[in-house]
Amino acid sequence: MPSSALRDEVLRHIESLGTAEIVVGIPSYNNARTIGHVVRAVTTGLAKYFPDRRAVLVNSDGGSSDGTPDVVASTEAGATKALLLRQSVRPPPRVITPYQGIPGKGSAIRAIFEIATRLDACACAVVDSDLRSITPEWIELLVGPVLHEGFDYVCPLYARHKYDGTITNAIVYPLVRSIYGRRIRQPIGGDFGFSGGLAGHFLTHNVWDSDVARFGVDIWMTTTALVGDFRVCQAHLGSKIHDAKDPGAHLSEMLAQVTGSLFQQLAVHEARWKEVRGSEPVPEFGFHYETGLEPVPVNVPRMVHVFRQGVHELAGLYTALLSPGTLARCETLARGDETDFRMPGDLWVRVVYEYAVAYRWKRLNPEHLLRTLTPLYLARTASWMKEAANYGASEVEGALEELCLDFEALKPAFVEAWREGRFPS
Amino acid sequence: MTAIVAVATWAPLQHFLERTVSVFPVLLAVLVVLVVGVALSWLLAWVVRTALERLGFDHVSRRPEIADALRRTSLRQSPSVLVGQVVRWVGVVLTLVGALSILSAEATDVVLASLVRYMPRLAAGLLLLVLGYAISTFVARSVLIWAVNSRLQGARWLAAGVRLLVGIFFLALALENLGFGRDIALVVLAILLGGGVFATALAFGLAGKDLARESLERMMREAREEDRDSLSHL
Repeated sequence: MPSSALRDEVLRHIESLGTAEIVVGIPSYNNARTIGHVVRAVTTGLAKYFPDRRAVLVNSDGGSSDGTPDVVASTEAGATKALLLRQSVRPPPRVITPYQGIPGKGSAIRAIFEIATRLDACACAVVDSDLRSITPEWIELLVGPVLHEGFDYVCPLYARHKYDGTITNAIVYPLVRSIYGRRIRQPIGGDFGFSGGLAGHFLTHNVWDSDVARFGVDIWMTTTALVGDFRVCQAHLGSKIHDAKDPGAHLSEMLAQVTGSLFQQLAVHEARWKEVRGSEPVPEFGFHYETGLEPVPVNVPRMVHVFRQGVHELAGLYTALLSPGTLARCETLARGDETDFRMPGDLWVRVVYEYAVAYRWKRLNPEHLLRTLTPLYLARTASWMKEAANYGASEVEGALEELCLDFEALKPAFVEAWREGRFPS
Repeated sequence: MTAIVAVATWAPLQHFLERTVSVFPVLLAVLVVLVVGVALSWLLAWVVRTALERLGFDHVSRRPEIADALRRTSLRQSPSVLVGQVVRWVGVVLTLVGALSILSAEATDVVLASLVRYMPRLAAGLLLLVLGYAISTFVARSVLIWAVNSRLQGARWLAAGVRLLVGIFFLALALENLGFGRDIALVVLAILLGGGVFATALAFGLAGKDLARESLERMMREAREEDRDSLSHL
């Protein structure tokens, strides 16, 4: 593992830039089609909202073969008239560099941390390179709370369809909230703002040869900021529309990556969260609005089918992972009629907690363990699709709140199970 | 006449008694070694088992891999009891070798020499079997989980087939290593693999061509439906 994510010539270039107050980083890999729009939004946002601040735009690229860095270098700033700017938009200096280290978003962001630290930046932001809905306001919302309000970490708050972000809604948000006691709605959003001090703090951790370097950097940043007692807030960014992720990527793999990163962080920070009870809200910035509730095509019977097959075929493995009571309830659910199919919130909470305990106690090969969660997750997702079919935005949040309270209520039992290795039935 | 009878019966008896008396200490020594050795083996096994139980060694058996392995091999005993039994039988074998050495040093040397010569092969063969078991279990489990998450029917059969193939491969390696049926094992493996593929191709391609078409159509249809799902999980 190289001690720096940057090459010597890049280090010399950064040295020649001196210092910067704001650094905005864009990690990329083969995003030539979309990154031009992101660069325009960033440069315009910097010019519009922080015209007097010295800013640097960083593109940390993973070795794109489609000319992504060339697009970044050649993209002009946004049209000033259309954006009601008084002065012309002068693009900030750009650092376009391939990163060194394990290929992945984590390594790309590590390079941005390093550049921000070397430039002695006060405030930084990272935005994805495949965003189609990014506007100049995103930069104000991600950087502003750090520069003007003294926050260290800004999480995104996206306006999403009620069926979107089911892993976030069913696992990541409730678990992060109950474990760390802070209501961060999108802990793995992908676009973040952070202070220069926090960037330096991130760099002190020796995680760059682990899964954090590949895919787990989002949850790692959030949990590291939380347990480091940094000031955290959220910013309403509106809708997030981006290129579809790799369509070939299987749900099971995605779920395993997210839950694996989450459970790993639980083990790393266990001394910090065992005493936490309940949760408290996190300050919010920006303007909140709701998304449309137009029907989204989903195949609920197929999800139920995978669940049933999973309970039947993976019974031997579930015996090792779930408590007898939880397994019995899953089996009863699998035998039931599809029209009444519903995995109750409290059952799902037990499943998630029991999986975390099983992961902690290495009940199974970690990869196998995480992938056996897919049928159970699909059961919960299918239930949610049926339950939320006629919900409006407030009802959706109400139902999620109930689920989160279930997570918080069962946390004392989880803490004991985490220590003892087994959940009481 | 009496003298002849006396000589004819007494002499062999006397000879037998002399031989017996001369062999008796040896037999006694063998008996003592056997009794003491077996008793010590039992004692040692009991000590090892009790110590392991007190050290919490049996927690190992709660790990699913070990629990699965014990279940599949129909072993009902706890790991401590199993280790104790191994210790006991090793003790018994050593006792027998010791007893044999009292009777005939030459025979013992031959047995020991053969045993020592064969030991590395035996150990390597056992290691291959254990390795094969572990790998086949891992691969079969991977296939099972993948098949379930991919909504493939007959996931268990698929996993069992993979386990069988991997298991046979390692069994062939182990047998070859032990010097049994050097070529037969590999031929069996080739027949199983080739035959399996051929039979599946025939069954699916000829006898079940309609089924094959329906299955492929269903897979294509489901793939298209999946593409239409605009659900974003993250």
